[in-house]
Amino acid sequence: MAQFNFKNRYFSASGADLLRTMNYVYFFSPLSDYDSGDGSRLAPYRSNWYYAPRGTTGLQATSALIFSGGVHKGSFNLGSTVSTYRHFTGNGMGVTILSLSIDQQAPISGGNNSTAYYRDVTINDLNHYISGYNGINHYIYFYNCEFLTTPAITTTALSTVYSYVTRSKIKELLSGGTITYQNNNSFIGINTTIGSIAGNLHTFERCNLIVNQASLDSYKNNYYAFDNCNFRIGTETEYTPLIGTTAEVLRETFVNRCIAAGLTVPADITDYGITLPLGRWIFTTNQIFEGITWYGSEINLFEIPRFISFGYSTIRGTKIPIVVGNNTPASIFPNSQSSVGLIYGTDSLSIASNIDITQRHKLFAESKIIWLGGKKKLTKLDIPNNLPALYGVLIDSLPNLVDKEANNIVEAGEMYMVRSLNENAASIIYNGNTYSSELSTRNNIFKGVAGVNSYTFASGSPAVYKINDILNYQSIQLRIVNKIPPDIITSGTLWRDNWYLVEHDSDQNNTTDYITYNGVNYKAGDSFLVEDVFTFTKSGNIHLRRCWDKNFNFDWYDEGSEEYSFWVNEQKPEWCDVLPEDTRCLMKNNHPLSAEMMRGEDGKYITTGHPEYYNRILGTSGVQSPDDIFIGGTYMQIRLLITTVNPM
Amino acid sequence: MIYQIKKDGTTLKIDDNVFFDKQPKEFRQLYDNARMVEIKDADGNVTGSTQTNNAEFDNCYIEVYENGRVIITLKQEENGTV
Repeated sequence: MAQFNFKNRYFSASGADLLRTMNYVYFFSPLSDYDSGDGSRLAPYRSNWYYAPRGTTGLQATSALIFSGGVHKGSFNLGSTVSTYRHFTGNGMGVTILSLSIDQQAPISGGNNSTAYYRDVTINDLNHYISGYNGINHYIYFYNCEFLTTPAITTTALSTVYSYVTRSKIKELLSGGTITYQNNNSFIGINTTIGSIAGNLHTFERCNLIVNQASLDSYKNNYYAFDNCNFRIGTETEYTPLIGTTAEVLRETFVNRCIAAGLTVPADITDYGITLPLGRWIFTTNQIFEGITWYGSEINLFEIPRFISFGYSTIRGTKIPIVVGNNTPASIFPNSQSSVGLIYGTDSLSIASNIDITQRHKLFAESKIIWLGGKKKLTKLDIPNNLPALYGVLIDSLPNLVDKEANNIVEAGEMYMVRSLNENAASIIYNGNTYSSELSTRNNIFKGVAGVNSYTFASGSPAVYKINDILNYQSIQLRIVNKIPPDIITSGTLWRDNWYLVEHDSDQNNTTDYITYNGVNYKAGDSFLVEDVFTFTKSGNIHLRRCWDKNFNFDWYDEGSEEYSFWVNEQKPEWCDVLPEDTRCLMKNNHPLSAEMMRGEDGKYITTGHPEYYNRILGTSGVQSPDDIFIGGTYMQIRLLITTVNPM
Repeated sequence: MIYQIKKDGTTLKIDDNVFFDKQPKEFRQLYDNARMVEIKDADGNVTGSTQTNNAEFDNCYIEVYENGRVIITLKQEENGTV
């Protein structure tokens, strides 16, 4: 089995390729063991440790610390007596969660600075303490970070910490020291006064905002997008939403409320020939979700003629809605392919109250067929969620722990985790050392060494599991194809367990014609899974296309059969594991124009969630594969697997 | 929108609706100089420099997007236009 490898590229807050530009790079994982970690790609230091990870005291002063996915919850002692330039970089916001306590003992003489750069991480209960010589300045830069809680950044009484925040998603405002918000941040659910946050091109989503005369006079020139916000304007005493739905009406409402509340609205602003009151601000409802602006939304249409982009991300996304009903095209809805234990709401999936997250569960939700409107490349999938990763609940299609217990067989080079079969602590002895299930000491992971193939029980009822993915990659599943069988179906019997797509004969935007299947009307672009009913009726100029069997397996089809002939040289609708933040793949024969993706040793398509992917593009075997091919196709389905009891 | 921007004793009037390559040469030079950031080694010695897209002027910050759009954000205490 291939080992998971760290990614091929990690960037600094200023965009430098860390692996190429830094002399010292150290890798960290919460699932590596304390003893054998040396900070390298394949033997990272362990970060979930309540003491300094071995070797971190004395990490080079100018260095990059790369954090794998997962919750990193240790105490780091980064001692140094000279100027320090340290990069703390993760796999992405929502994936790498830093709950570290960092003690940066630096520097001890005047004239030296300490600088820290955070990028691509979620910050949750982060403590960063900088001790050292009084009176010197410390600089911390955050780029593309998500702030769930304010990081506690402290230093000695006579020093100052300067924090700079750029292109980040902020759910709690920073505090302490001197904080500068630079351009393009996304604020979600905060309370503030317009103007008290520096910078331009921010989005404010579900925020409570105070508007005073200075907000209007001094900040009218900055670009802001307000989505679903409540305002307390001038003499008003409560935060209330603007009444209306379109941006035009909401702007008018805002201006009228300002006037009614005793404020003077500045003269209209002309920007690229468009004249509007407060013409650099836009007020909308439901057009931004977790900082991502929808493609084609009023905000997006406001951006285009002004050559700007709001918020932390330049991606303009298309929403795959989560719905309760079953006739919303390209949605995730509760069908027979979803597991029990998930509760569907409007754009929300939650875990039912009868599911105990301290027990092993795999819950999944599947989308309908998503027609991408032609052959498209996927550049990013964003799955905003607030699942309690700290308690081991993640969206992850790959099990981090091999389900089966190790049964006293230890393979050299593999990592193992000790857990208890009951509520009490349990321990085992391996290679002369004792490992306990307790999270309070976190001495619960060991690495197999050559010649020592078994462990002995020491106390309690231990269970030992092999760790499958020490990098804690959090993947979703998707299947994507370029073509579906060409037959246009207007009558006849439907095939059991097959997905069918509804197409209009001439106009895919038509909303009057429909197919009726099992009592539900489906319009163009919608799709359904055939189970116990095999007939349908049509109304208008509409037809069906058969897509694929829900359990598609190419081996079922005999050579010469219609199915075999169609799929043999095509990309097949097989599920592959993909990291949402990195949607790349390998193509057959390493040729970018191949019709089909490359298969790994296990027979599965190699996409970023496949353990071979990063090994192959890094050339760990001595032969390198191209790293610039994005997953592409025309028809897609996605599946979210929510798993519990992941290592934490 | 026309802004009065200041940098090292120079004051210029800049229209942010004009793309960067059509801005006055003096402004482009000021920006190019201001966007250089020194890279230092562990002892604080300057070992090189790198370019950023966000330059600090005396009374504002200037960011130039890849599409050439100039974004001017006046510093808070001096926010206002001419």
